[in-house]
Amino acid sequence: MSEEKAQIEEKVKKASQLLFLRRHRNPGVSEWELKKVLGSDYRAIIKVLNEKLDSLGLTVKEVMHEGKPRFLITIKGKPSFDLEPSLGWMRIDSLAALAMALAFITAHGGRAPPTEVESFLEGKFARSRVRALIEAFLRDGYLEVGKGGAYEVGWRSKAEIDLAELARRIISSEPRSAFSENLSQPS
Amino acid sequence: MSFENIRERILDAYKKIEAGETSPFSWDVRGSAQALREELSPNPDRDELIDDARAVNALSGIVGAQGREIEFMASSSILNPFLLEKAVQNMDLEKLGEALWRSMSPSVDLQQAMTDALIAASTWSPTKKRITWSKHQIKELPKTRVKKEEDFAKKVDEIVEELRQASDHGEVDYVQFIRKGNALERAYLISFAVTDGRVLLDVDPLSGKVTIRPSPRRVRTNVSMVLSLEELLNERRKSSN
Repeated sequence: MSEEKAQIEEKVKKASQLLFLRRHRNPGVSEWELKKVLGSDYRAIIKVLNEKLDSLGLTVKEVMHEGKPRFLITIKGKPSFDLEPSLGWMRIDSLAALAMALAFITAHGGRAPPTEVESFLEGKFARSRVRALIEAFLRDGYLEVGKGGAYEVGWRSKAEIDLAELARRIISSEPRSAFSENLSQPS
Repeated sequence: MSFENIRERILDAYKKIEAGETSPFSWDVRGSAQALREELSPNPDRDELIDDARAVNALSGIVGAQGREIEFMASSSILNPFLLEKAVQNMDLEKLGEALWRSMSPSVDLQQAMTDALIAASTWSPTKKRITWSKHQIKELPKTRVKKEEDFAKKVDEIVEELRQASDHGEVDYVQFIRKGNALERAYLISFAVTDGRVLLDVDPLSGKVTIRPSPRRVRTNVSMVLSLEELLNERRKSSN
């Protein structure tokens, strides 16, 4: 193995350790950390790592977090259908609450006042539970507070969730009523 | 309407749009810009110019919000927001959760106790209820460098060999053994040797005494044990005095 190839292999190992081992509250690493450890050609190293991860059904994603690029490893595509829906501390009802919040914000053009989002969730959850869930979603980066105080889609939702797919799944599950028939058919 | 009123209304509209209370498309940007231009006096003073600049900045913010909303709606392919909201209300929680689950690619990472975190955790006090993180303790991975696997394995080998010699086919008191050097590092290494099945760990149910001994054959095992923080801190104080 040439010396250059060995150096690249060493850097790919370091990149995988940086990306896999969670050392902060949030998953992934920021651009400056990658630059510091891998050097200015970190994107080329990430590309090589991505090719290796592809065979495992994983991928490296880049997302903007607080105005700066952040890199994290996610499952490529969607999780296996057989897996029970749960994610870290989130079980099916917490996932449902996040789906509601994201759908509401999406329907309002990407931002919505906190009171309206909370009131929407209170349609299916107790007020105290809504507070706790929203706090957890904000803490984990699934929701964000915009500069005007509105709730927005968080950086982690942008990295992990296909909002168009979520909207499509929600709308397609709706039984077709006379109202929705009229909406979809030309007069 | 006075000039001040127009500027205030523009600023107020911008605030409401940023707070998500109003759609950015509900505001007549072109008409407001025209009104600002017409109302500005021919020889404006410094304060008037500053207020005018604020209003123009707010108008550009509204245009920016319109752009972001168009971009967002286009990327999320939402054709009918009203239908989406209505559908959410009619769905049960299980179906909503499943819809989200099947629309996501969750992030993947490993969570492991690092030496720095263990050192910081040992400073936790039941009275202060806080962990003292010092700059010395929080070493970023790039500074400390990722420890090479073979270095770590070598250290585990060494501590298992040390235990083998110390035990002479018998048991050794766990606390005394880890106190022979850097207690935290030795406890960390022993924990890996126990998990790897190279060291057997026993806890006497009556006295609570923890003993370790080398395993004759490697059997992978998981052992959970509770160590008293107060006891460990006392041990640390004793060893430092």
